[in-house]
Amino acid sequence: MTDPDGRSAPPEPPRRPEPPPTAGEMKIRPARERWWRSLSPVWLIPIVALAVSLGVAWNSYADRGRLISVKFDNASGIEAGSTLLKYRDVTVGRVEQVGFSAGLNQVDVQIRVAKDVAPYVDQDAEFWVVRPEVSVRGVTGLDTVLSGAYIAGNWDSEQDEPKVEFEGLAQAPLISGPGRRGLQVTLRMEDGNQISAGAPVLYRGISVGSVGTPRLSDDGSHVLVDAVIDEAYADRLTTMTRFWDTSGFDVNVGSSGINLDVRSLASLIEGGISFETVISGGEPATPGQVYDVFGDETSARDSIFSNPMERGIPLSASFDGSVAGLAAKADVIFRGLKVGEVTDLTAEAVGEGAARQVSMLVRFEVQPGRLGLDEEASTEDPVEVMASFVRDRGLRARLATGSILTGSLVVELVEDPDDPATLDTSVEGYPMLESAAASVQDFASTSQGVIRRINGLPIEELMRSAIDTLDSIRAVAADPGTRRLPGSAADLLDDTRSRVNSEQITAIIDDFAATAAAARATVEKIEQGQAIDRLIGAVGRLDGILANVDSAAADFPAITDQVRALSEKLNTIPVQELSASANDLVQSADAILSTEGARQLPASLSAALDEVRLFLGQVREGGAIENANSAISAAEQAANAIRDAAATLPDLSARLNVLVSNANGVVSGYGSDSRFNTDLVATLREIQRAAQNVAALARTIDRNPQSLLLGR
Amino acid sequence: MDDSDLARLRACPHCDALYRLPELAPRERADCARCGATLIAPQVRAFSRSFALAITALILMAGAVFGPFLDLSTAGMQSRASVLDAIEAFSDGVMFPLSLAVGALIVVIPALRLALIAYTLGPMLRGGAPWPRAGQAFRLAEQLKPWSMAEIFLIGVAVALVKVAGLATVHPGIAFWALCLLVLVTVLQDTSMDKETVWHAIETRRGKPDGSFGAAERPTAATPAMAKRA
Amino acid sequence: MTLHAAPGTARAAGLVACRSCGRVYGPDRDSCLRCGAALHSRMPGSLQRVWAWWFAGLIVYIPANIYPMLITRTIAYDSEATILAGVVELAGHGDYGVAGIVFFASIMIPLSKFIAIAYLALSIGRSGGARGAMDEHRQHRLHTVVEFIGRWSMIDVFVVAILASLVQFDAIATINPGIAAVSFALSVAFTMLSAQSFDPRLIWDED
Repeated sequence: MTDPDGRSAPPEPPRRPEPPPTAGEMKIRPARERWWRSLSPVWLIPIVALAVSLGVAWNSYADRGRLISVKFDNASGIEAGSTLLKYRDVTVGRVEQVGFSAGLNQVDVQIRVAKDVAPYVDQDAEFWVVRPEVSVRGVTGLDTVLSGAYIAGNWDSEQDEPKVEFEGLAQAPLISGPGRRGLQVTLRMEDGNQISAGAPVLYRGISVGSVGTPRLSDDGSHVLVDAVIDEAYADRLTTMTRFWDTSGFDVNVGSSGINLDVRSLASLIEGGISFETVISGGEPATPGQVYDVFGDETSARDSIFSNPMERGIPLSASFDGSVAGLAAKADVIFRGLKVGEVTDLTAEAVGEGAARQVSMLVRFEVQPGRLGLDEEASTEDPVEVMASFVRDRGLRARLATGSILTGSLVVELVEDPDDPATLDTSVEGYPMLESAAASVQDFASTSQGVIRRINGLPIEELMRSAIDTLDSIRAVAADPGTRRLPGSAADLLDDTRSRVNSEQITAIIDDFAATAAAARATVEKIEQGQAIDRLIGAVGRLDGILANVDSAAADFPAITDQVRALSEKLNTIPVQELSASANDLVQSADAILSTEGARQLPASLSAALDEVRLFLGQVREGGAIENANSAISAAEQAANAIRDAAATLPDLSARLNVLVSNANGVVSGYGSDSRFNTDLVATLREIQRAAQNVAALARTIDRNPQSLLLGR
Repeated sequence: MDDSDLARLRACPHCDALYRLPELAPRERADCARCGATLIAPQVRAFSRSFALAITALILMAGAVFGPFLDLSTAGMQSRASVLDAIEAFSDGVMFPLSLAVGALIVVIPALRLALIAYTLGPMLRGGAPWPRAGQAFRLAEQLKPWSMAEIFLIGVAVALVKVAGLATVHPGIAFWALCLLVLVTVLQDTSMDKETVWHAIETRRGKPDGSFGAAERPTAATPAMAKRA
Repeated sequence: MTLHAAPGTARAAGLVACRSCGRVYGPDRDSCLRCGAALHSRMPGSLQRVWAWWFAGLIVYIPANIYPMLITRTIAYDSEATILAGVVELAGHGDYGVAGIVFFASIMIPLSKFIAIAYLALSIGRSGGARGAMDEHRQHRLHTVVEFIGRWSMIDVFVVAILASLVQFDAIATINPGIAAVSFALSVAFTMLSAQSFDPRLIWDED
């Protein structure tokens, strides 16, 4: 026979003759070939293939990363097998499985983390899902529109005890930069209206951190919000740091005019918090430090000289006369420096029967630190310290004019060491200071004083300087440069000019002249020297004086009308313009994100998606579209946020209105320097520029959708 | 049996069935009675046709390899691939051997085969003696036949195009058409060449001086040896 | 025309036929005059080589199906598609024709090739008349088909090569071959060698 391989079969053993009966023949079997000798070397190939295959299999098994489990509230956008885990934007893992935790409370996402990264994923690791997000602060995670959401992880570069179970964060941590840490502090504020999660924390206008979601304090008395300050700026924070709210507009009315302050568009809409450490000496801030958020920068800065945590010494004083112009929160000043605040005003009956009088009891708090009593007050009984201070200095309280323009009053602490005073500690809770005669300069006395001084002048000089001043005002008003100011400013200047030209002004001068002439005979002593300077100053503040003239003197009804008209102008024009420009802002924002958004953003997104669809086809069922939808809805949310913010704009306008009407008497901001105007114009320009930038971005996106996708 | 007797016998290479060489007219075919394989199929002007087709295919091969093969354009982006690029697709790292293999399967082996056939047939076109080792060359060409995969590559291109078609616009370049023609020509060349004729020519003309042949042995008259053996 | 049946096989006549050119020689020649091929009545060690290549092909066919064939990276997603996943994806897009081709070339052909070669080798290896369900003619045809069709499995490797060279749009979309492309190509090559190692003349040998 022949075997199938074609080898010739070994020869059969030769037939032997029949064995003799005596001796048996052994059965001889043919020589067997060793089976491996006939093995073909081809067998090496399957053996090598097997070895290599096993090697590859073992390799990939050994290289398999560690499986960790992260729990999220929902698995929106997370897909088993395709969602990636990224660290510093580098893929370091992949979601293997998405399931539920026990009791279906949470979603349990199983992630296979690359082997070389896994040791660093320890208890400090944080995980959150990155999805497309469009907000006023910009568009983030746009790449996830197409790629689908991914899970971002953040951990430090130290290998600690490995951990397998993690809780995912609902949103990106406040400081999410890889490896970046920040200082977390807690901000305490009166209400949470002004702030929303993610609002920036500004330091000198630069965003250095952001805030989390506002929450109510345990006792419900405050709103607390965590803020994280980027590590690079954390050493700007000390215990002396003050935070204030920079949400929206800030309008200050002061002797220098009206200050309009608008921060970034983002802070206008989302709110924002600024901080500043004006004086050194504080301790470095520690994590978890609690700060109060002041309503505005001024009060924040005012609070710097006192420790807001330190309680002031409550005091009171009783005044006989009118306290009109004094209000709660009015300043308590000592040698010109604010040392406290009025807390309360009440009427009090003093005495009995016919002698019974009603006097006004003013309660206020004084910060001992401001009086230089810091250390003593903290170690001893503050009231006792205060009493001895009062005794030594002869400290008394009196009413004083806070602002000659607004007619507001303040409580002034005056000292007279020669006349010791006592602190009446019998009044429960509010030891009473003695009161001194008010130094209130009402209009009558002021104007009389002025007139008296004017009277002392040679009328020619008065006339000359008055005319000079008016001339210079006119010159300014007539200056072509001034005319080029935007409409409202020009209007106001026109108004000023017309006022300057008006006969009433001349009438005032005439009146002054007449008064002076009448008084001349009775005034014997002529104060020439310093009076001229004062006169020039007084004339320079002509408008301020006019305001008081308006409130007190009925002698000049025409001027009153004029001032009122001007006030009305102030009331109407800027506010209209402001609301118009606010409207413009809202409209352009709306146009971009809402109405235009219906056309442009989704259009460019869908154009981008179309392009992508062209070459990616349906490689990914639905995912991209869903993501785009979520991006669009996020854009809509942003638009809504802007719309909501727009709803608050009328509030701001109203606030401005109130301020403006409060500033009825204050015309100085217009006449002497039109800072309000320039501020307003600058602000409007800024807002317009912001709107233009947004529009330009929209155009860019529209023109070149790929710039959005490719980042170029 | 001496060798001249044996020379008139043929065995089916597939089933070892033994036959006497038949007398065949051009374009007649002789099949194995047992396994059905076609053993002899003489053609008219087989050598010149095969040679011409092989040379044509070689030229086409050059065009297919070096010309632009496919242009892919989508959303303003362009991608161009030549056959060489397809070969280089695997050239990263561990897959480099595969790159070589693909290159061999779609370019080197088909080209080598065509060259070998041209080498074998070229000198015999006008009835001359084959060049040395023509037998080995022709045998190698036959053995490489299963490994010449240009036509499979073409089907692969078609499949790939369908995969990509929805995602991008594809413009076939000149090399693509060259490859199509190449496949066509190769198939024609394969069918136009009767192996037995070639083998016989190699055997009988070996050692003959170039150009000295009788009219009966003109290659244009197909299977002259067989006709003689009738 | 069909050749009229000769008395039998070359081997039965004590002759050796050249496998590449069909020339017949006496038993004492060991290489063909015409083509220089070594002469064997039957290929020595044929079955062993068949099985060796067969196992090699089978071993590398396993990773070819487990590991990704095509690694697609786009800005939209990263995916690693195995052979089967690629077929499913194509079918999912409605390209049933192409899906069919790829399925046939990459899954059906290799698998049926393994089965067919194993069947042929086993039925040859078995002695005696118990040759299984097929007669010689069918077995021979089976072998012819296996030899012819085996090389078409390479389609998938070529598809991967073309896609990988064509789709290179940097960040937008790139396609790279996976490790399975290598093992699949090897598997195809090994099974082709396995089929070629099979000497079909063995099918007809009686006994």
